[in-house]
Amino acid sequence: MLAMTYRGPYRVRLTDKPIPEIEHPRDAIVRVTRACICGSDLHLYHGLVPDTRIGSTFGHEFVGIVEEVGAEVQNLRPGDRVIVPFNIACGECYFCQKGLFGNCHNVNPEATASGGIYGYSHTTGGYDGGQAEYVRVPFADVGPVKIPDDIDDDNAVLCTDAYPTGYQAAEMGNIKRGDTVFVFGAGPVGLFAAKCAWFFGAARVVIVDRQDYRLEFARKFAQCETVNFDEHPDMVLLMKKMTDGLGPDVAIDAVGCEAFGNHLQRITGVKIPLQAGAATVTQWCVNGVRKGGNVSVVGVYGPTVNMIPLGNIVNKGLTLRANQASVKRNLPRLIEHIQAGRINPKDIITHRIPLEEVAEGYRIFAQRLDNCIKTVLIPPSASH
Amino acid sequence: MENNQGVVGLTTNQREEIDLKGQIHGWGVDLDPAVRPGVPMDKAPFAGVDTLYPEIEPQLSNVEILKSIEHEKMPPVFGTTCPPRGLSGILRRFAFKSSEGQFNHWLTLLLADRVDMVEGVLADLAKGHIPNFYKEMGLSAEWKHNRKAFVRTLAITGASLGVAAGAIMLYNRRKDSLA
Repeated sequence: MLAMTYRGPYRVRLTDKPIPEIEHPRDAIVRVTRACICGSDLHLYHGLVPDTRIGSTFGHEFVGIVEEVGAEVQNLRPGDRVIVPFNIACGECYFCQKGLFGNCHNVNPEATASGGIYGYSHTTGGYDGGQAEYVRVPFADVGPVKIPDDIDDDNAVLCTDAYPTGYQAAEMGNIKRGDTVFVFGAGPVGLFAAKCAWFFGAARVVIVDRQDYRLEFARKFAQCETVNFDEHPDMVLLMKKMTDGLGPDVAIDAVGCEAFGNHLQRITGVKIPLQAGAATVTQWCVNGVRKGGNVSVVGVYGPTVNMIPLGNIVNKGLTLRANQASVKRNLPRLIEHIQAGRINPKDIITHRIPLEEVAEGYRIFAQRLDNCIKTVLIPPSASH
Repeated sequence: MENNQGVVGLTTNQREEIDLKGQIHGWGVDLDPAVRPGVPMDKAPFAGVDTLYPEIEPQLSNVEILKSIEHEKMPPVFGTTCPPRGLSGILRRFAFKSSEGQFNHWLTLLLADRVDMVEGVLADLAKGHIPNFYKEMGLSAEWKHNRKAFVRTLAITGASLGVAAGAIMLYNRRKDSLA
């Protein structure tokens, strides 16, 4: 089968790999019909995630059709169209029982801090991902959700990560009626966080980025105000000035470890790995949000340490919440929102690219070429 | 959308009267916590740690899997792609002797990744395959969508390399003449 493989920082290649096989009686094999390149894939692509091995296939956002099921799979049959959440979860452990499907304890030998994720290094379990024609899907009765007939593949593939993560970012912000919400990052997750912030009753939503085309898109897609931080020397001061000197009630970090905006953070977090990524946005969120406010972090950071102002978290009495999205848990409500016409996730797709052109797809997305917001890869076998 | 500057300064009553349903489709549909799917902590059911490692049939595999020493048991299911190999594999095995809380665990893995990259190029060459860096880096996309900057970068890189090569040649010539 054709599969994207990682060859080193900034290098990916399409290769011929064996079709995955059932390795456990609860596995299924899914033929991929759509796979996205996620913003967090870029951290792998840039070589920033430890234990990213040469030859790995990335891709944790994919949907497809069940080809084969293991002997113990009860809920799926070959031919079923399925959304496959990016988290791999057993559904039975202490954490899954609590609905923390992103924190399953039984699917990642290489680390206890993170659960299992498709195509996201051996730090999340060493699974091959969905930027390929076929994928092995463990615990097929737990994660995958059959796609309702009125949801097409383009909308379904955004339900695997970007949309649930954006929604959960807003939910973890504990937004109340009349709140002001600042969302950092006008990439796919930030756009969904801004859009969903209204569902929770926000009175004002502001999205912050440095790409004008993304901000323009955000104004239309999420009906929010926008700020280009490159035009403002002091982002925290601006947050205060825009909110009567108080700061917003909620600040959301949908950027993660490759943030621009602070040279010290950038050099020590991205250029030289002295910390686990540039924590500029978390720093802005903590310093800019109002006292007693909520900071929600869904941006991806590495596992070591970061420079964030802990003293201000204490002094301001902030609530800091963060997690990998519990996709399985969020999906029923998120699908209802699509079916009710409140959101049309596929609006953010700007590029549909054949899997064969995966290297160009990564370059376009990573370098923000051609006004790219979201890239979807389509394998040649998608139409079989 | 209209700029609502100043909304933060509203009184409690004014906040509670805010209703943007007419402006934003779906506004407030998830205001009621009961309809929210629940984020961690909100709806966590009672569960004991007796379910930390539930009885699940273990996956059988001949592939070498490195296990975090923080795991008390081997998880029953795991990925089997790209087992450790060569010098990078030796480094990875070394990294897994320390726990996830240790800086050297992660730094050694990052070092192993870079060694793995070199090993990957060598393995390609050993098979007679010369990696196509232009293709693998997707540079045709730069040529197509960002040509001006791409050409400028190439020119600057070429000029820098030329200057560096010239400086080295000049240095060697002077060294030879002094000898």
